[in-house]
Amino acid sequence: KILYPGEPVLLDITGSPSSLTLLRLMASGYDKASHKRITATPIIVIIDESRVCEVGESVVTEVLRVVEETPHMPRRVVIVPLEAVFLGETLEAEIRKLLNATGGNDGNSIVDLSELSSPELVSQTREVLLKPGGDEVRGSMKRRILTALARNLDCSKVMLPSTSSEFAAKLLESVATGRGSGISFQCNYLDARSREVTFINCMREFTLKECVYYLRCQGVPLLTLPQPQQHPPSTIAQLAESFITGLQSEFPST
Amino acid sequence: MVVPCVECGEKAILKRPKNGKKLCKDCFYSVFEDEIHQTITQNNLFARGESIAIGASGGKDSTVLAHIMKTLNDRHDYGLNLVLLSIDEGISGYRDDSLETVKRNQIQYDLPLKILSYNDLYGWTMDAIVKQIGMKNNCTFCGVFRRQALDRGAALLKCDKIVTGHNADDIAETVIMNMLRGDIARLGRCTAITTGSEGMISRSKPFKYTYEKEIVMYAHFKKLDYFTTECIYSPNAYRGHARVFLKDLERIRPRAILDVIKSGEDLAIKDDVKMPTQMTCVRCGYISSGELCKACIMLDGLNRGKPQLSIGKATKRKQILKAEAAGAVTEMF
Repeated sequence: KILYPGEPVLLDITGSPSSLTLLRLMASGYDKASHKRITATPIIVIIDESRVCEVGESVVTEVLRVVEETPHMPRRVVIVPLEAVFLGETLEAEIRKLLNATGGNDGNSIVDLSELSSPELVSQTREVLLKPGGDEVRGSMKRRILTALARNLDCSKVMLPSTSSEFAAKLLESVATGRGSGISFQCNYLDARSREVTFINCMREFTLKECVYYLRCQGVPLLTLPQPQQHPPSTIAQLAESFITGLQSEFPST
Repeated sequence: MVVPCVECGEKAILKRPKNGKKLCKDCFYSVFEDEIHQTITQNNLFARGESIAIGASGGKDSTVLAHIMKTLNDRHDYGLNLVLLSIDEGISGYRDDSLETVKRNQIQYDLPLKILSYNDLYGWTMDAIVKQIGMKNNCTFCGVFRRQALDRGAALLKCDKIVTGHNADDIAETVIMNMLRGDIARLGRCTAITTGSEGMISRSKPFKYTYEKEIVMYAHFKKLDYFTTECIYSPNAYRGHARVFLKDLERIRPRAILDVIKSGEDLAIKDDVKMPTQMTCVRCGYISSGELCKACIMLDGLNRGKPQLSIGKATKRKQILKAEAAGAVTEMF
């Protein structure tokens, strides 16, 4: 019993197969005919990386289309640019200002916080993500944005779409970089390291492959997500991910 | 362009895999031996007057181990009594050749040698075991039997401790392997530099922080006599996957091997996780996590022509035994 009736909860929907699966699973809980209904109030968060990855707004548009087409799902959406994290300590205040100005706190359907972005922030973000370890930094940036949003929207819970495949690669990466003491915090179902916000890794028990199969069965098309190019191409995170994926095919319990 | 040694300024002939430092031959020997001496003294691996059995296979790790132990024992006056202990697994075309190397080591280092064979101890050679079980899971059998054989050999020689040539690469591979298999019990013990419980002969790993590449370089420059061929039954071992990953990791960041070991040391196990309790085998008296030790279970399976009894989960073994018993009852009626 993690979610209480009427409690607002953020859903981090990135457009990845696991996040679309999370969306579908949550939506099935809002179906009036569902045996076990979810009564928490969902707020879908789309962290917009289109400016950083230079792909235009196609990904956000596609994700919004999928949200629109998902039956039974309440449609309260907040779009935040990834580069906004470099606003630093003023991030929360800026989000609050924009939410009040756009009526985001009144339960409007789609709130776009793109005004938080600027060319300087975009180039700063791009530079950071291109360095080795950019994947991990991206994860921390998203977490920071989600925490700031959660505080402004009076949410104490954020649901993340990371699958067991991603956790396994992350654990192996942590072991390989000497951070074995912290891996127990990384793979918990509930991550309560942040005092006010609890991150729920609700897709932890599923592999990425299972999510893809589920979406295929549900008739939901997969989205192509662009990645910023990294130099050098070979990093420990990528090595861990490719190793786990390869081993999983031979040893399915990996 | 002549690259100078960072320690003495002479011409450097190698770059240390561990930290990239450029060293001449003599400085490399000195640094290599000093680091192992530091590991031995800081972890109090030995006490004066102890009798130490050196697990010797004739390979590079055990040959360098024998050489280093003899050198440091003489140089720093550890006061140890060293003995070479070798196990003959009965792998034709591999072990018989490497044992010849160990016999030469015995003469070269002037150390007594004891050889124990699987055939004498268990009545089975690895060749016979592989003929029964095939090319999969044979390392499981060999590892369990060798561990017990080393303990029995050390007990026969009245040794206080066993030292093995497990290096940093081996320990890092073990951490990764146990992580991939979710073997929390082994994960909690595999990075310990000294293992063993009360009543058992403890075993230490002086090469715990020594890179495999540096051991090879030391053996090469010192022109030590060692056997280089890989075990003919090892290609399909699960450890091979961990090794490939570790080698790729080392290429990206050489420090990663020590980082993996550090992660293994720092891993904390939750209090409520069920860990195996230490017991004694009712058949042979060896340390065990159940009524029968793994070696006795394996021998049981081999002797009954059902080696799969000893591999995999205990629940599967019970199912096979139950099905067997049901089949026997049906036959009776």
